[in-house]
Parts: sequence; C-alpha cells; structure tokens
Amino acid sequence: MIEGSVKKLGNGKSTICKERRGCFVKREKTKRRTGIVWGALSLGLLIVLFSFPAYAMEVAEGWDFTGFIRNNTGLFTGNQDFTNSGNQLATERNWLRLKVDGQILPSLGVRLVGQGIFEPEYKIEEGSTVDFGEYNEADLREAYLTWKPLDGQKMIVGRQIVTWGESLAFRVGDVINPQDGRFAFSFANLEDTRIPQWMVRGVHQITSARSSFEWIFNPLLTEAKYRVDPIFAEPTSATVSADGKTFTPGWRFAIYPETRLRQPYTTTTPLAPGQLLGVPFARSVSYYTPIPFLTPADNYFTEIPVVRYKHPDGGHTFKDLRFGGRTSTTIGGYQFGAFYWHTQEYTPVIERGKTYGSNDLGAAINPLLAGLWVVPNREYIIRYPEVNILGAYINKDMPLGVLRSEVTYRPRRTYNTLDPAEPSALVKRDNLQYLLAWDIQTMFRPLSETGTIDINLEYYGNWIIGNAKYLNVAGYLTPVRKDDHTFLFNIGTGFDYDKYHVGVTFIHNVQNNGAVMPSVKYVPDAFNKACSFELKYIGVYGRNDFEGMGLFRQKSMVVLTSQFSW
Amino acid sequence: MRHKRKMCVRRVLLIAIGMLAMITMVSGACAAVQPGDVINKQNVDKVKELFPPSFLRWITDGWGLEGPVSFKVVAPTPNPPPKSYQDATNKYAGQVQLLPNGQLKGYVAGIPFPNPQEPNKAIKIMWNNYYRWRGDDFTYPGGFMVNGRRKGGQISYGLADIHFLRFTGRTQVSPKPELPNPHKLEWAMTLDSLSPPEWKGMVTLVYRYADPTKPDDMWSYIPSMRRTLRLVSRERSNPVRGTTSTWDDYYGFDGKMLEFNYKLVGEQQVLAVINQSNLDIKGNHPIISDNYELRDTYVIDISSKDPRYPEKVRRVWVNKENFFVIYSESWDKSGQFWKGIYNTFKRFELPSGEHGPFNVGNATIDYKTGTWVGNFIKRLKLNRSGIKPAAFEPSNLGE
Repeated sequence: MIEGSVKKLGNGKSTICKERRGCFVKREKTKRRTGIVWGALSLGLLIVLFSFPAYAMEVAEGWDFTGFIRNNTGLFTGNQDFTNSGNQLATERNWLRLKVDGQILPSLGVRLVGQGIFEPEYKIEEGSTVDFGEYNEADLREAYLTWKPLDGQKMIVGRQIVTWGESLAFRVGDVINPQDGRFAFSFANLEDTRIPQWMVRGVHQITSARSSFEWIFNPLLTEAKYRVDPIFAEPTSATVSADGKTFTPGWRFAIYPETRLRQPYTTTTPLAPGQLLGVPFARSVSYYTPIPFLTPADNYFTEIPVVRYKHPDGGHTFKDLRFGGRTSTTIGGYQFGAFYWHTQEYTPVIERGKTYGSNDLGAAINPLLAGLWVVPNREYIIRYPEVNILGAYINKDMPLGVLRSEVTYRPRRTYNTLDPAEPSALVKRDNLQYLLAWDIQTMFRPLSETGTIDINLEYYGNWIIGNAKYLNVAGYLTPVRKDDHTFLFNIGTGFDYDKYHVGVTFIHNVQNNGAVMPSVKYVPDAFNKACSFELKYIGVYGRNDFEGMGLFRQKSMVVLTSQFSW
Repeated sequence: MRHKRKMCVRRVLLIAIGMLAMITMVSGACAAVQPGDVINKQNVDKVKELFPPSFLRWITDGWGLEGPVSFKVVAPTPNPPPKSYQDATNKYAGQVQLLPNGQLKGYVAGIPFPNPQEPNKAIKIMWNNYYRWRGDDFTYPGGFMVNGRRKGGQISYGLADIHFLRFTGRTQVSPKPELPNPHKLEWAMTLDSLSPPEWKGMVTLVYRYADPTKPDDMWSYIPSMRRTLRLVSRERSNPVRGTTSTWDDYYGFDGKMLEFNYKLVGEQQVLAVINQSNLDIKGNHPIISDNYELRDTYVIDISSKDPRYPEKVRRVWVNKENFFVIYSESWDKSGQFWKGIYNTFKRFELPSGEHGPFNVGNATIDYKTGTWVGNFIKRLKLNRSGIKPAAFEPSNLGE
C-alpha cells in the first residue's frame, strides 16, 4: 500500500507524492457535502424525536429504534506550537448512531447499527498533503443475527463487538476487537474505539455446572480502511512551515510523530558509521550514516528504504485467522474463567528485510559522479505478527467492595529491537500483563444523600519476561520497559439523583507520565433525560515527549460532550 | 390419622380467624368510613387514623409536589394468597422454628408463621413478609413503568422489565418445592431498563441465596461499555439507577432479614388499594386515586444493626391477610422524616385457576429533596413467564 509512494528523500524527511493533492481537494468537497447531509439528517431526526416521549420508540412489537447524536467540542489548553495559529480547536467531532433491534422470529433477533461521523478540517491539517478526512465516515457498524434455539444457547453471526476482560480502563483481557487509533483519546470511551469484526460466536450455558462456554471464529474480513494504526498507514511526511519552523502534522489524537524530528531522535544525532539505528521515525532512518569528521548534520544515504505494508489481509491461513474461546463459572460468589485467543498484533512491528537492486545516486546528482555513490534498496515490512493470548480472570464481591483481577500471557510475542545483532530488527519475548482492581460503591451523606460515591482503583502491570534491552516501540526509538506499571484512580458522585455528576480520574505511570481528568456532567429533566452535557478537562503530563502519556503532553484540552439519545 | 385431624382442626381455625378478621374489618370500617365515601381534602379528618401520617398530606395538598388526591372507599374484598400456597403453609408451617440468632429452621414453603405469636412476634411477622407469596415466576413484558419527578422538575418516564424466578419454596409451578438449584438460590431476578435513554439496555441480575446469612450477588450489563460488571451488593441502601428507591425499599421493605432488628409497635386499620381497578395509568402522579378499602395491619419498626445504615428507623404496615407491606415510612439518622413508600395491589388469576395478590404499584417519595419515583405495573405474566434458570447466569447478560 505504501510501496512506491516515497518518491523523494533528503535530509531525513520524505514526502508524499504530489498527485495526492488532487485527491485531497476532491475529498474536501466530498467532506463538505457529507457534512451538510449529516447535519440535515441530524436536525430532521431531532425534530421527529422531540415530539415523542423516549419510551415510545418501540416502532412495532418486537422492534426497537434507538441511537444518539453526540458532539465533542474541545479546545487545547496547552501551547500547540505545531500550529502556531492561535487556533486552539482540538476537536469538533459529530456523531450520529442509529440502532435497530428486531425480533424476526421468537428465536431469531437482528441488530443493525449505523454510524456517521463528521469532523471539519482543522488548522493543524491545513496545507497537508495527507488526507485527514479519514475521521469522517458513514458506516454500518454492527449487523448481526442472534439465534437462540434453546434456553441458554445462542449463536451470533455477523459484524459485532465482543468485550472480554475485567478492566475498565486498560485492555488486558479485552482482546477481541482491534482498537481504532482515531478515537483513542481520553474523551472517547473504549466502546467507541473498538473496531467491529465479522464473526461467528456461540455462547452456551451449562447451568448444572454453573458455567458457560463462549467461542468465537473471526475470519478476518475487516476492510482495509480500518487500519489499526494510521501512523503506519500514512507516512506523516507532509510538512507545514510556520514562523521559520517546519512541522509535520500528525493525527491529532494519535501520538506525536512530529516530535520525533527533534533531538535526540533526529538524524542529526551523532552515530557511529554503520550503526543500526533501528527503524525509527517514519520507518526509514537506518539508511543514513553520518559522514566521519564532519558535523552531525551531514549524513549520507547507505540504503534506499522501500516500505511494504503487510496487513493481515484475509488470506484465511492459520496465521491470518482469529479465533478463541472463554469459560465463565460462578461458584460461591466467585466468578472466574479462562480464555484463549489467537490473533495478530493490532499494533504492527517493522521488520528490516533484505536489500535488493541498486540506485546510482551519484549519477542522479551529476553524470560525472556516476558509479561513485551506489546504494541498494532495503525492504522494510510493516507486519502484524500472530500472537496467542492465554488469560484468566476472577471477580468477587467482598465486604469492602468488588475485587477484580485478570492476567494474560502472550508466549513469544514479537518486538522491535535496536540490537544490531538482530538484522531483522525483530525478537521474540514472552509477555505477561495483569490487572488488580477494586471497586467501592458507598454513600458519603455529608457530601451527597442522593448519589453514591463510586471509586475504582486499577493497577495494570506489563512485564516482558527475559532480556528487554534494546526493545523499542515499533517505528520509534522509545524503549519498551521490561516492567511497566500504571495506576488508575477514579472517584465520582451524583447529586440530586444523578442530575449532576462530578468525578475525577487520575492515571499515573511509574515513568512519571499520566493524566488528570476532572469532569462534571449535567442531565436535565427535559426530553425525558435524553440530553446530557459533560465538561471534562484532560490534563496530560509526562517527563518527555516520547514515553507513555508524555506522547500527548501538549494535547491537554477541555472537552464538552453533548449528547441526545433516544 | 391423628395428623390429618390436627390439620383439619387447624384449617377450620384458620377459616374462623379469617372470617373474624373480615368482620372486624367491616365493623372498623363502619366506625370511620363507609363504602362509597369519597375522601378528599375537605373530609380528610375522617381518615386521619387510617393512613400513615405522611399519606394524609397527599390528600390535603399533595405535599406541594403534585396535586392533592381524592379517592373512593369501597367495601373490603378478600385478597389472600392462592390456595396451593395456603396448602403449603398448612403442610410446612408446623415444622418451622425460629432460632435464637433469628434464622429459621425447617422452612420449606408457604408462610412460616401463619398465626404469629409472642415471643419474637415482630420478626415472625417479617419472616412471613419475607416469604410472602409472589408467584413462582413472573415477568412484566415491557410493562414496568418507572416514572419520577424532582421538585419543580419535569416528569421522567421509564419502562423496564423484570424477570423473577423462585428456586425454592415453589408451590404452583413444577418442579415443587425446588428447582434444580446449583447456585443454592432462593430466587433470581433481572431488571432490564427499556427507557429512559440513559438507562436503556442496562440489565441488572440479582441472586438472593437461600441461606439468609449470605449476601446477595449482583451484576449489571452496561451497554455503553458493552460489559457485565460485578456490582457492590452489600450497600443495599444506595439509590438504584438514580431513583429514590434503594434495594431495601422495594416492596416497602426488601432488606436482608438478619441485618435488622424488629419491634412490633401495634396494630392499625388502614385504607389501601388492595384491588386496583385499572392498570392502564399514565403514572403522572405517585399516588394512585383508585378504590381504597380497609385492611388490618401489624405496625413494625425496623432498624438496622449496621451503625452506618442511613436510616434511624423504618416503620412498616404489614397486611395481616397476606403479609405484604402496604405502607412504609422512614427517618434518617438525625431523626428527620425522610421517605414514604405507598404500595397498591391487585388480585390476579393464575394459569391454575387460582387467584393471588400482587404488588402492582409503588410510590417512593424522598421528602427531604421533594423527589418521587412511581413504579407501576401495566402488564404481568404470573406463573407463566416461561423463563428458565439459564437466563439468570451472569454470562447470559448483554448481547
């Protein structure tokens, strides 16, 4: 997909082919049209819905019509030096979701969920040759049939979302649906970031054993447009110049590719000749080598990278399939189970491939230099290696609250490495992830007599078994920690029987990065409590721009989420 | 033979007591109100001894929350449990013992103490309430309306469904008296919200264990998270889904028996909706203006053994005829009047041809904030819900 798109190289930057500009203008017009259509649809729907009480939305016996219109308006509170425009608009995301649940036969149900999302072009994206209109979509998000031939036995066939796991904030056992990086920022909930999959799923209750068994077969028919990590799908090479600085725009709520161009991760970093820098920013640095005795800024090419994108493409081989199962047993108030899921990594690694062919760069500069500077092509393959996930979970309501725990073990997981001894830049390591969580729900009547105090504590650990030296985040030089620990603390309460809700969430990683997210939500009585307004501050901190939440640290913002549901 | 004679004598005695109760009721009614009387704010004094104190203000000025209510008094109509349940009572009541720790020994089905006597009369009455007849299974197919309003606000309308399955103490639907019961449950219930939108799709599963010392277990499927979460089930005095009702408030009192102390305050004749004439109501008012009739009740004060419990005391009026709680009033820790709960009932025909009473209306008013919620049953399938135990597994919640 990316192969062939890198046309010109120089000084550590690459650019996208100019032909794409035409596409961009065309898409802009389409985008505007889409916006008008969605706007009109939303308005019409609002008018219709306001004339009905919400409980009357069962349009026919056994058929139910629901959905929501939502707007996220956010302003950056930090200094967005990559825009330098004074325009602090962080998000203006508009959602329309329509859901139909129907009963075709007593044992056969259907669900259809359509979703439309529209966002305008942002200041940060102006002048970019990359099409950022990819946020916009009109999509059949879910479409499945549920067949219940017997009590406690059901089979679900179609495009669906399945959530496993115990964590509220981390995806430890929540491994079925890949995550859509476009919607992963803190004002989006996990549900909105899950990419639906075409699956066949069965859930079988074995009541005599107080257990159930669930199995899933996912033939991987995910469309190519659902790229799991758009950073790898779209080189962030388009540049924006402002005030004498050159910036590379990135996905607004993805990590900062542009910061990769700064010290110490630029190509101006002094390197020993021939040293493998890995496959860092935008996949293609290792082919630069500094010229000895000259300034660090002077480098020369040693290879021409050719990047190949190998998404699991529905080849229906064992490697490209996803399948697994889970048990659930409830005994003595304990609910527990084990699961297995065979899948592919949802965030890719970059394999350093073989060299082939040659390029006479000397001749390209001057015919007189022909043959003096000849470099080979180097293949880089963006891959989604297969992974087997073994997991277990348990929860119990204890005298002081609910305890939840889960663990996953991924044997021989594939990581990128900077170790020159690994020419493929890939190594295999076992990986253990675990969660310990505690929920408290109680009343603190001096504060509120009409709402519970809800407290959630979660500790998430990620442990690489074996040597973790030189492991790095794929595509970047950020080291992967051998053991990493993140803590979440969430507290909130409601007032006036949940008309108002206030809360705050802290996320802290031991690498000194995290976020603080206070929020206040208001649900007015009007329209049968169908409207809600939530104001949230997302304050991000980190010790640098390259690790954990620090990747987002210039993206602190205030977001107002308004929603009308029916 | 001797046992048979004993049973026969007991049955005759029960019938005699029942008749006596009805006569007392009617004579009491004559003293205060007559069938056909219409009660409103002009003649509220006539019934001031026939209601919990908080109810009277609903007749005079609606507590300033809604309009004042008026209603018609009708002659008392019997509404006892179904015959098969009474048969179970006759069969098993003799073997039930109240242990010093408040637990029961030998309970199988029916009312454990059909003629509660001292000592410990109050807890015996409340055990009767705990095991009152409410069907072996029931569901409200989209017919459980949960409306509410905060003072000065707008009415919110909600619909829910409840599925209830009794595992032990079954008296009408086979297998009796117990279903295959691997979880050792007394009953299981799901509460499935259909509206308003903020609650839609949320399903809560409750396990009530047969062992009264075991706390309940609860799970909730949260559609916005697409996950079934384990709930904190011990905090039964927390508001349920943003309403004035707590888990302990349902049916007037639904607390865990051994967590409370009980004191018999006395007996009182009250007016109540025992056979609601119309279920097709809009639910714009928490108090149902239907036919009210006289009933004899036990008045019991309930206080929690847990010093953290937010109520100082709850007073309940328990119908002598079938041991349902008709009214409930509670005071907070500081002694301030807090909540009133007013239930209504209706007699339903069962698939077996028997008839039984059912709690079809419940208003829970928080007088401190001026917020009410009304639970009104519009549709009921009793003892014919067809629901199976598999529906009550936590992994069965959600899509």
